[in-house]
Amino acid sequence: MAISRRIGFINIISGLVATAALTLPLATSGAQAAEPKKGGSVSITLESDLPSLDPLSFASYNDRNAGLLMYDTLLDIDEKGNIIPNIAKIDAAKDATSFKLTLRDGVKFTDGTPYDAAAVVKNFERIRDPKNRCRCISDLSTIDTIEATGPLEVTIKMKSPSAHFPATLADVPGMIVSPTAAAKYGADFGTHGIGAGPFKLKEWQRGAQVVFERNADYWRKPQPYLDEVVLRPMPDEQTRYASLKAGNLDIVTNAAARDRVDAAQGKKFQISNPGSLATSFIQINMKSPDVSDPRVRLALALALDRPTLNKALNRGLYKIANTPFGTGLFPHEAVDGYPGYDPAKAKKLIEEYGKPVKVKLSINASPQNAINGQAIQQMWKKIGVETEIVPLEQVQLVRAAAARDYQVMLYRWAGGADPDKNVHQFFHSKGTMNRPNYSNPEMDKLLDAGRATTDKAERLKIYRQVNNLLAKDLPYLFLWYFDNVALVNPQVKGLKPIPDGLLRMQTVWKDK
Amino acid sequence: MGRRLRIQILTLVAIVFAATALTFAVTEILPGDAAVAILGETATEADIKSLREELGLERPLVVRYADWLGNALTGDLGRSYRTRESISTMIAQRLPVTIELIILTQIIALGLAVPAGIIAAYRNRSGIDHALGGLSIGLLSTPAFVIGIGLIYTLSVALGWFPASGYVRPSDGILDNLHSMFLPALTLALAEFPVYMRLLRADMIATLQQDFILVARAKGLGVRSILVGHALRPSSLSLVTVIGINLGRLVGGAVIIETLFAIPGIGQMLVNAVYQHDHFAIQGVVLVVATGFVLINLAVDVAYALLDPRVRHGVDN
Amino acid sequence: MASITDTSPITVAPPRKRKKLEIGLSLAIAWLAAVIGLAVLAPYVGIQNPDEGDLLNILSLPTAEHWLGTDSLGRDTLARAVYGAQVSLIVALGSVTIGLAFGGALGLTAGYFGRLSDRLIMGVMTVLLCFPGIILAIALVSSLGPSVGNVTFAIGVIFIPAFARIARANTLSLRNREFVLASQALGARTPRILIREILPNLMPALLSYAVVMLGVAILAEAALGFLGLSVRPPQPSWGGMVAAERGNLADAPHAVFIPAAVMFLTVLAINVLGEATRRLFDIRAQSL
Repeated sequence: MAISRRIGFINIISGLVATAALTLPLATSGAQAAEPKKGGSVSITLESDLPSLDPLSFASYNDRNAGLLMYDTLLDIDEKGNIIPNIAKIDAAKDATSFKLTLRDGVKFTDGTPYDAAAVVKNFERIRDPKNRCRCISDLSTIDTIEATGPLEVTIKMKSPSAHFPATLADVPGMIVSPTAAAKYGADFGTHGIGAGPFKLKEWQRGAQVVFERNADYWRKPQPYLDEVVLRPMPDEQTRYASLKAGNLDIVTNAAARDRVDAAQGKKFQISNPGSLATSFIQINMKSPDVSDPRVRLALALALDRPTLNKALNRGLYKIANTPFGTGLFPHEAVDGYPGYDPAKAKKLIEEYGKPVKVKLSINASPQNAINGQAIQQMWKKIGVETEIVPLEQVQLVRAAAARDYQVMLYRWAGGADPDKNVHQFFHSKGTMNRPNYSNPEMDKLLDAGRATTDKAERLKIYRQVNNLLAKDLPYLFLWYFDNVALVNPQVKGLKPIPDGLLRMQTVWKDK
Repeated sequence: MGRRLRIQILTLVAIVFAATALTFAVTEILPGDAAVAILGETATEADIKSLREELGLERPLVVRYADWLGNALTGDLGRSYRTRESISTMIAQRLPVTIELIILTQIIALGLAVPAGIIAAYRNRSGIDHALGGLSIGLLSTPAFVIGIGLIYTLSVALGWFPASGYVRPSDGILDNLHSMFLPALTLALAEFPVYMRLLRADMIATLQQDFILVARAKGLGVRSILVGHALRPSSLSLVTVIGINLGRLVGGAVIIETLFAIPGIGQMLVNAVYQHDHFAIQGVVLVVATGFVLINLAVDVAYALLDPRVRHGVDN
Repeated sequence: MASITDTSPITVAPPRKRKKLEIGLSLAIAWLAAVIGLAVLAPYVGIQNPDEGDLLNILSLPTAEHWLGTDSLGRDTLARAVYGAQVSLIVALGSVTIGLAFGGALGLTAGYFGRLSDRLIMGVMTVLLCFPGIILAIALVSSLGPSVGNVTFAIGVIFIPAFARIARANTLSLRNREFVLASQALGARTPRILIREILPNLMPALLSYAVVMLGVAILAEAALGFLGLSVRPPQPSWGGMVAAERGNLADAPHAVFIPAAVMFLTVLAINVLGEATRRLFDIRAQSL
C-alpha cells in the first residue's frame, strides 16, 4: 500500500554510497518507473497556521514540514531511519565526543550568500543563545565548542558523549538560515525566512495559505520539479479529508484512521505510510498518589486490552507498542516481555494494594482524544479503578505536563531520529522533560551509556535493557506506534516515505 | 441634536473600553499561559518563569491594562506573542475577509428571505406559506455546523460545484473569491434566513391590512407594485433592527463556520488567540468587534430614521 | 454560537387561527413530554448504561439489543440520547433561568427608573453584547472545568443582555400606563409597583421569548460541543454526541444523525410551543 512500492522509488543514497560520494553529483533516483515532469503546484494541509518561519520557534510537525521546504537539513534520514548525508556529511569520533561536518561545495542561500562553515557556525551560535529561546535548545545541550576548521569544515566538540547528535542535524537544528538575512531582519526574520531549501517563500497569506515557489538554484539538480508548494491551514479534520475528496487539495497529512479506511476502500487516493519514530502512551506521574505504587501501575497496564482498543479506536491500523521506539528506530520492539492483557491479575494487584484506586486522566480536549480517554476509562473500570477524565486545551496540557501537575496523562511524542531522543530527556533523573518524575540510577546509567558509543550493535544491547527496565518500572503505559500517514492525490508522484513522516517535496512531481 | 450626539458617542467610546477591560480580566482567568504557548512541548518550568518575566506577565493586571490602553490610544496595538506580527496588520488582513463573509451572508439571506417573506405574507395561510414556515422552523432548529457539514458533503464532495474549504482573495480573481466564499456564506445565511423571513412576513401582514394599501389596490395598481413599491419599506423596520444586531454579532460570532471552512477571518484569529493566550491579539480583536458593534448600532438608528418618518420627525412611539 | 444573542423571534406575531397548528402543537407537546419523561425516568425504565460500551461492537446499526445502534465506543445510542437529554434540558432550563432572572431584573430596573440607572445598566448590557461570548465560554469552561453547571452559567450570562433589552422596552411602555400611574397616586411603594403591577404584565413577553431561547440554548450547547467545550466525558450531551461522532458520517451515519435528529425534533417542538405561547399571550393582550 505504501507509495514507495507502487512507484518503485529506491533511495540509493544510503549506507556505503553516502559516505563515499560527496563530491560526485548524487543520484536522485534509481529505478524510477516514469521520468519526473516539471511544473505544477501541490497543496498540503496544515493543522493550523505556522507561527513563524524561523527555525528558532519550530516544534510541531507543521513547522518542520515548512522548514524542510525552505531550509533543507544538514543531514537527512532514509526510509529505514538511517542517518544519511545531505548538504553535509558527518564523521564521528568513536566515543562520540567530537564530530566533523563536511559541507557540500557551492551551495548558496536564496539570497545569494554562501552556505559555508562560517554560516553553519553562526547558526549554531544563534540557536544556542539563550536569549533566542530556541525550542530546540535542549537538543544541543551537550555541545562544548563549535568551530569552523576549514571553509567547508565544522568541528564540534562535546562536553559528554553524544551519539544522538547527528540525528539532531536531520531535524530543526540542521535547518540552516542565511546569517546575512537573519541579521538583516532581526526579530522579523520569522516572516521572511531565507534558507537553501528546494523552495522559497513566495507569499504568506496568514490563516489562508503559505505559498512557496521553486528555488531554481537548489543544490540537488534537477530537483525540485514542482513550481509551487502551497501549505493550507485547515483546523477541521473532517474538512481536510472532504477537501481532498472534492479535489481542492493534494495531500492530507496525519490522516485519521477512518479516513484511511475510507480512502483504501475508495481506491481513489494513494496512502503513504512511512511508519513512525515514536508512540502514543499514557504517561504516569510516579510521585502522585496511588500510581506511585508499582503494583497499581502494573495493574493499569495489565487492564489495557490494547489490540481491542486499537481495533475500536484506530480501525486496527496502528501497531501495538511495547517500546518507546517507532518502526524507524533500531531498538524498535527490542524488549523481553511487556505486560499484556490480564484483567484477572490486574484485579488481584489492586486488591493487594488494598485501597480504592482513583485516577485522573488528563487528555487533550479533541474529540478523538476524548473517545480514546473514555475507552481507557472503561477498561480500568473493569478492574475496579475509577477514572476521572480531565480534558485540557493543548497549551494547558503541556503546562500541566511541564509542571508535573497531573496524575496520568494521555500523550504522544513525535519522536526523534535517534533512540536517545525518545528516552534520555524523559527518563533520565536529570532529564529536562522528566515528566513522569522517574528516577532510577540504573536507568540513568543505561541512558548515558547509550550516548557514549556510536557502535550500533552495542547501542541496541543498551536500549534493549532500557526497554526492559521501562517494562518493569512503567513510567509510560505504551499504546501504539502512530504512523504519520498521508493521503495523496494520485497525480502526485515521487513522495518518499520517511519514518519521521515529514514530506521531502524536492523529489515530488505532478503527473498531469 | 449636537449635544445628544456627543453624549451618544461618548457612551459608545466608554462601552468599547469597558469591553476591552472586561476582556483583559477574563483572559486573566484562562488557565495555562502565553509563555507555555510560545515555548511549546519542550518547555521547562524555569524557561516558563523567565519568559513570563520577559513578557511582563508577572506585573499586576491593572498595570498591564493601563500599559496596553496607553499604547492602544496612540494607535499601537502591540505585537502577537506567538508570531511577532503587529496586531494591526493581523486585523487589517483578517477583517476584510470577515466583512466580506458578513456582507455575502446578508445578501444571500435577504435575497432568499425578502421574496419568501413577501410571498408568505401575500399568500398568508396558503400551502406555500405553511411550507416556508415549516422550512424556517426546521432551519432554526439545526445547528449551523450541521448545515455546513451537510452542504460540504452535498454541494462540494458529491457534486463538486464549490470548493470544500479555503479562501481566495478578491485580488486573485473576484469570481474565484466569490466561489470560495459561497458555501460558508450560504451556511450562515441559512441560519439567518428564517429569522428574517418570519419578521418580514409578520410586519408585511400587518402592513397589508392598512388603509394606504387598500387605496393603492383600489387604484388598480398591480400586485407586484403594491407589494414591492408600497408595502416593503414600511414593513422592514424590525428587519433592519435585527440585521443590525446580527451584523455586529457576526463580526465575532462566525467562529465555527470560519473554522469549518478554513476561512481566515477575525473569528478564527480570536479563537486561536484565546487558545494560545495571545493577549494582545485577543484585545485587538475585541476592540475591533466592539467598535464595529457599536458603530453598526449607530447606523441602525440612522436607518430607522430613514425608513420611518415618525422617528425622523422626532415623534416618540 | 450562531444565534445565541438572537433577540428576534419574539417580534413576530402572526395572527393565525388554525386547526393544523393544533395538531403540530399536540405533537410537539407529546414529544417534549416523552423526552422529559424518559430523561427523568431513565434509570427506572430499563435504559442501558450510557457510559458502558462493548468495544467489539462499535458503530453497529440498530439491532434488537441496541434499538438505535451504538457509537464509536460501542455504547447504546438510545441510552446516550436519553441521558444526553438530561444535560441538554438542564443546560437549556438553567441558562434561560439565569438570563430571565438577571436580564429581567436589570431591564425592569433600567426601564422603570430611567436616567442614570438606565444608562448604566444598558451600557453594561451593551458591553456584554459586544463582548464575544466565545471568549467567556472558553475562559469559563477551561478554567472551571467542563461541567453542566459551568456550561449553563456561560450560556446564561450570554443570554442576559437580550432579556434585559426586552424587559426594559416593555417596562418603558408599561411605566406610563393608567394602572401604574394609579398605583403610584395611591402611594404604593416602588417595590410593590414593580412586582405587583409591572412584572406580571412583563411576563408574557419575557416568557414567550424564554421558550424560544430554550431551543437556542440547546443549539448553543451543541456549538460548545463542536469546540470541545461541553460537559466532561463520558457524560453524554446531544451536542457532544454529534460533535464526537461527526467524523463517522460516511461509515456510520446513524451515530451522527440520531442525536442530531433528537436535538432537531426537540428544538423544533420547543419552537412550535414558543409560537403557540406567543399567540396565546397575544390573544390575551388583545382582549385586555
